[in-house]
Amino acid sequence: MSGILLPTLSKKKEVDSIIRDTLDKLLVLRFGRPSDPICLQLDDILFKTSHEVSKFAAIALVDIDSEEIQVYVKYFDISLIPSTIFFFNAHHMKMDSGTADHTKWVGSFHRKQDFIDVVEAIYRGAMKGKLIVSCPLPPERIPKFQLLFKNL
Amino acid sequence: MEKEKKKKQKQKQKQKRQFEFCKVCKLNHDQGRGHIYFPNHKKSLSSFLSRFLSNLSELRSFLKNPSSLTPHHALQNGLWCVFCDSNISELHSSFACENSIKHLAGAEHLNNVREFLRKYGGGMDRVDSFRVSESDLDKWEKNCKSLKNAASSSSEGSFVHLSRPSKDIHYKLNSVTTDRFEKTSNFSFKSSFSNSVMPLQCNTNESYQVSHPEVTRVANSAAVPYDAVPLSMSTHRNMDVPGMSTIESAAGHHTVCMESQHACFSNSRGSTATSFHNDSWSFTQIGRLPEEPIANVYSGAPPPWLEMGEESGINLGATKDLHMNDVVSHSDQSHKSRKLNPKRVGAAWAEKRRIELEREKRGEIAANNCDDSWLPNFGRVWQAGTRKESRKEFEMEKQRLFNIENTSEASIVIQPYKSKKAVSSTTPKILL
Repeated sequence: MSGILLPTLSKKKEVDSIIRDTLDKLLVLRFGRPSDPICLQLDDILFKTSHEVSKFAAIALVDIDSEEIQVYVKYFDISLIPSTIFFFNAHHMKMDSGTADHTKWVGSFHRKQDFIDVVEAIYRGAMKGKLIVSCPLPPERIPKFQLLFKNL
Repeated sequence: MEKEKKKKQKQKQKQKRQFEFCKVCKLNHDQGRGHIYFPNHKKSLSSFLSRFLSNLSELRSFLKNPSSLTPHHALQNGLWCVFCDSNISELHSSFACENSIKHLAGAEHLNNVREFLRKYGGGMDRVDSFRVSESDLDKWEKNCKSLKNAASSSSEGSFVHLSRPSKDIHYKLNSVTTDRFEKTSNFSFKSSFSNSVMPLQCNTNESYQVSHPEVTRVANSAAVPYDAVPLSMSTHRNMDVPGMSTIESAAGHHTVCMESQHACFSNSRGSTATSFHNDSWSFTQIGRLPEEPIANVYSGAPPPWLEMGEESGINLGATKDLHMNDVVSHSDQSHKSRKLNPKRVGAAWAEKRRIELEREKRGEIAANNCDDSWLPNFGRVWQAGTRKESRKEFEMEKQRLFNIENTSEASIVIQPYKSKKAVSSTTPKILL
């Protein structure tokens, strides 16, 4: 449902253009596949909040199984799905949420307001010229995961 | 004790002071007489008076050269006398600024001016600059009388012309040209229609004939014949002077400076310009003259912006779209860049990209002209250092992967098995 209503990108060119052409707005890219249950949950939250954050954020879904997207999957080091990556004016925005990976948000959110808070925190940080912001959510509502160093 | 008494008296005085309105500063104040010495008051007073003086300057030009007033212009004219707080309309006056001049010369106005200057400052010695002196009034009245006489003695046609409502809506131009008359050349107008017959005013109606016997030129002869162009074209066009060259007729009767010709041409597109087509005219034509009479609003043709064929309709739609986009993006840009923090992340990039997008919309550069290998800056998970480095690293990795794949593919070249016997049997044949 949400996959139909939010733009779903399956080509590298589309991802390129959406990163390049989203100006002065936070771009939220969700890397995942619609068959994954956690991914579906995240998609649902993204879709429901997409209107509320539409003034300062744009949300797009990226199909991780697409052939052309693999270059991004490798480049963004996506090993777990769903992974959400934030861009502002074609600059990658990081967030320190106490997990191993600052470059992306891995997993879903507990509720809509959590996602709105995160997007707002990153947007405000970006408007102040910061490339990394700290997570506004309490640690118990941040999904935990473990990264293996260079997949070893 | 005495000091206290004085203080109390002062306080009482202060309390007694009432608020009064200063119409120069347009504010209520309780500063009493001292108000007029405040610099703000002085500033606004000088601008207030200079504004009125500038209004009077036009009037003074008419005072020197009285001219008749068409009823059409009478409606537009009028003066607001700031000293008497009254509006002087020119509704029933037969000469330009007649009522105003009479008002400014009146005793009531003089009293009001004096009172104003006493109340708001500004120097009593300036009274004369805000009124018309009696000697000036006398001169003006004399001139008017002579004008009237001249008008009555001249041909009736001119009166027909005067009584007609002119099509001129550019009254401002009119006053400008009259100013130029005064500045550039020495003309004395005794004719009643000297000022009223202006290039734009001339009726295109061809039924009347006018001659201008009263207008004489005080010779200031430098380059006059060349500079001289007829003031009213239709008049000259309809004059029955078969052998006379236009320049002569122009110089002999009615001349204006070249500038006013410019003004005439630039302002007249339809009627006057077309009526200018006459065999006797040999001037260089400034401004474009239509070869054929173009259908205009008088002939009931639709306005040019409503005329569109199929193509132009499409084009119009497209351009409108583009224009709208442009406008939106422009306003967006100006609005946003004003509002947004210039130090935000990627501000320079956003500006650059926005300009690029605008150009893409206009079709100046091809859309989506980025490389296939374009990647955004990305800080990788295990990356220390700048974000550009992570891209370089990734590209290096890709290159390495590509190389490995290539070498592995090259190493595993599958060859069909050939027995040694077959090899040995084929080689001698080749040798043979």
